[in-house]
Amino acid sequence: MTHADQTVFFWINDMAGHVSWIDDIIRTLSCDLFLPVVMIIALTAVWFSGRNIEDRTRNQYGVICSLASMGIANLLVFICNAILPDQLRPFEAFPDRVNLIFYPPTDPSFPSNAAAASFGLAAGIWVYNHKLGYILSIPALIISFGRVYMGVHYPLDILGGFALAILATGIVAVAMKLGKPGIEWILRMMRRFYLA
Amino acid sequence: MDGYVGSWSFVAEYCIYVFIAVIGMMQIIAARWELRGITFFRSKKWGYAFGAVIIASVFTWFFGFTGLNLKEPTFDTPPQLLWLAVSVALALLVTFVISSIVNRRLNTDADSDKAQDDGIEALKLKTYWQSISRFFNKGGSR
Repeated sequence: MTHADQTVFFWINDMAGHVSWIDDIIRTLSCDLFLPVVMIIALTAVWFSGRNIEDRTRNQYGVICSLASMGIANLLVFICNAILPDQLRPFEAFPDRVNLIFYPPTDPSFPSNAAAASFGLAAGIWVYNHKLGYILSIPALIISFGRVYMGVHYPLDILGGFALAILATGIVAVAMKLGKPGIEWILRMMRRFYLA
Repeated sequence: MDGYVGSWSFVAEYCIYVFIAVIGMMQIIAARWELRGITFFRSKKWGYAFGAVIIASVFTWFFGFTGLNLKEPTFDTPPQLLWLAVSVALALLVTFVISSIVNRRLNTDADSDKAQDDGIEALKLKTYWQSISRFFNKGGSR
């Protein structure tokens, strides 16, 4: 498994460092400041979107689920980092072979926090709006690919992050079903102030 | 906070970037869903154009002209989320204020009462200020 992981990693990472403008594009798209911000701005837009109040309420449930899933996914990554043995980043394990075109993160490699958070956002909204979920999966996939391309994650780290995102979304979806009266109350209050 | 990334100037640039992008996105959303109360323009075309231009401009500025170096670490997730939330909230507030001033003559006739219980739906007919002041004039009840 580790061997296959490393093989796939080097297939992808070997593409880096040859064409500087491609590296620049992937670095920009995969950093914390571009697509995660785009996703949050998109969620803000989704909050206000809908043909009618029912449609908009469904979208707002999706946004709540999405943000909560991202938060829980981050928490699960934090727990994994605390209990699992530290796995070296690819650029630490193979300093002479890896094309590192990003800043060197200092936290453990497995699981990928970026993948967990971005897939958490996408999966959360998918629960209430499949189409939007698929659309938001695109930036999550780009971020995940970019992290491997730039030499900061193994593919297995990404899969680990993805699995945690799905787990987090499952937890949040069940919690939202159980806590529906509470969420309805919050939305009703926000509607009073024209914010939902 | 020393060095460029993580410095206050970086935080300020990041907040401006998110703030302006959200303002642009809100104008696109206002045009798309005909939320006349929060639009800056009467014409939907202008709303779309303003939103698209302002978003493209602010992304270009932030990634091309601020001296941002992505080979250096940016800030950690918690402060990033904090500043992101602050910028989004501020952008919504400014959108509500500007649109309430620009659309202050928006007709608040009897039709607008229909939308009173519908939250954001009311912003199709009234500005945010008109909506919220009516709510408080009624002593917080509808």
